[in-house]
Amino acid sequence: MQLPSAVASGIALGAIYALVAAGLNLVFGVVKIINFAQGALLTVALYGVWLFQRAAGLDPYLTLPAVAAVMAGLGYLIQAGLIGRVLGKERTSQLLITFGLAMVLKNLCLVLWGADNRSVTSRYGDRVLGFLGVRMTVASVVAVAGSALTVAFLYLFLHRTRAGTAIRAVAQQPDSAELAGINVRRVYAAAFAVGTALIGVAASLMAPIYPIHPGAGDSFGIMAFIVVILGGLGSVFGAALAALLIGVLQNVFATLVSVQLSTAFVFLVFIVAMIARPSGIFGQKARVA
Amino acid sequence: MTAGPARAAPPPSSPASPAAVRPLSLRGRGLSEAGPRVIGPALLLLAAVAALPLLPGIRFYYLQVVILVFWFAVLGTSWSIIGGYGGMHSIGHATFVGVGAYTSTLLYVDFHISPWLGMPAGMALAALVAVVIGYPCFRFGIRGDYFALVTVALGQVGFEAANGAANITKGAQGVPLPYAGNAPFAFQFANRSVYFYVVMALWLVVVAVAYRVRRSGFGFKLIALRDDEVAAERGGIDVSRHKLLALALSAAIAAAAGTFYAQFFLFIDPGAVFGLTLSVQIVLMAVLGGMNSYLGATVGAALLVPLSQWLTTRLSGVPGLDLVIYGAILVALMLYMPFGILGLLRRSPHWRRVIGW
Repeated sequence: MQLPSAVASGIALGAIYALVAAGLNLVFGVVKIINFAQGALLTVALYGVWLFQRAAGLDPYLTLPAVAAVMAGLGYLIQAGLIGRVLGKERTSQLLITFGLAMVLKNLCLVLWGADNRSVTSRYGDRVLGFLGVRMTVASVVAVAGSALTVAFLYLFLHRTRAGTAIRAVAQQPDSAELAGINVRRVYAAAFAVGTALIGVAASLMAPIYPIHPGAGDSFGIMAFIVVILGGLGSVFGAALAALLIGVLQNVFATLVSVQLSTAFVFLVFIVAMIARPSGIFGQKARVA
Repeated sequence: MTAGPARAAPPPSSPASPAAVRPLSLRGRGLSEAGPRVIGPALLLLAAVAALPLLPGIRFYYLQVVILVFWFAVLGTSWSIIGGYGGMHSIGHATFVGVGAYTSTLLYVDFHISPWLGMPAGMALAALVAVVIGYPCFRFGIRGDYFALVTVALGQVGFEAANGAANITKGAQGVPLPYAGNAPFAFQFANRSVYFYVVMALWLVVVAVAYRVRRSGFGFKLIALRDDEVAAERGGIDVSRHKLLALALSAAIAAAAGTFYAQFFLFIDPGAVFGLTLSVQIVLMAVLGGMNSYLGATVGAALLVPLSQWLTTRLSGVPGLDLVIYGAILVALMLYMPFGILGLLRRSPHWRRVIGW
């Protein structure tokens, strides 16, 4: 019964990857910038959940709207104040700006709250549900369900609303979108805000499962890139599928072969997949960059 | 180096002699054009730095800072060859440092092979890794951001592999090198200032290599394919072969620096030599100084290494605060000086030739 449980917890891990990657998909797909601060923003959001819960004594899931709103504001500010000013300039300076931002955010958490592990508890999160021999905690089930819902909402937002259509238009052809009367700068800021808000959602869903420390978001941030590229840039469901695939692969490899090498294995799979199929597993368009 | 009468009027018997068909002005005269008023003080500065270990009573801490400056300058310059000349922004350069450090160290610890031999072995292995990862990338047109991401993943594979394959690399605890006293053949010196001259020599060699590369046909081809890959290919440049060569060269230099690190600190662990932070620091040195110049990384390292050392000791009571400041400086620099310090000189044709922009 090891394998089904490994798959189940892999799905839970993949659900979190899917959310962080959905945020990145917007930023990377629309603003076309490698955001190294993605992981650090997740760390900030996790501390946000912890602070809200400590201050208000709320259930971690009830902090979701507040954390998502704060993160959206933070994302908007980052785009308007920093990223927007280097768009269209040197590629390396964009990369290094987001990396510098990541350093600032992550170490600010270290300065403010120390290196100790913090944890967010809910009264029912650790209860274990069994189903056909597969055992999952309530928190994992909530994370999977919440992630699925959020991804579905994101899809509807991008495909059924005017704002979403504008975002997709800018992602495809910023110049033509501008000609069609879309304020590209505002769309960039909106994409960044929605992307970081999704990180906030991810943080509230994962806070009861993972310990919170200044490096908590790092691996998720890098993994999100892998998910987005494997899933095909701009494809909401493709990224979600790739996230589940990677989560399951990583957990099954960890269970059957080696825990230590499981991350290296995923990265290796990514390099091979990237080279063999540069447009992503589910993407159709050839990559031009 | 002035154009003499021989060049102005080539002997009629050999109208196609190399001197006649290769006018100097095309490639610039490089360093020699700086004139004695710049070269003189520069040589003096170099001599003064070289004399630092001879100062009576100088604290080793200061020598160590200068050693780290040279070490980061070597790495940054190696990065400039691919990132600055070739336009391939690798963010996994620490992989090659790690490969170099671990190869020579494990050969020494497990098989008692001198690190002097382990160093070329590590360089060869790093170049091999570079070719194995670079060939498919360049063959299938992975470039720009996607190449950067592949190198990030490569760095993580190296880090996790060094962490995970504990039966070979001792995992996260790292590998201590046995102290051998004064053993020049084992790359260990009781007189620590020898390390200073070793790394300074390494730096001189690497800067000279970068300078030569910049002025060679190879360097011009790299710059051509950086600026427009399609046009370069149409112009008859074998793009993926030149990219591959540059990446292998850069990786080999980084691996040599990795061996030096292991011998200097006598201890390596995955976080120190394979970490993403090191990869980014390398990029930072080159970008701050000006990545298109062979001297850029040296300028960057000379400013950043002392700064970060000072911040670390000064703010040791508040862990993390030094990195907050470091990150903020990085952000500010990228906002206001994206071409780096030497990039400020790029508008002057005279200085451009001197710094090889």
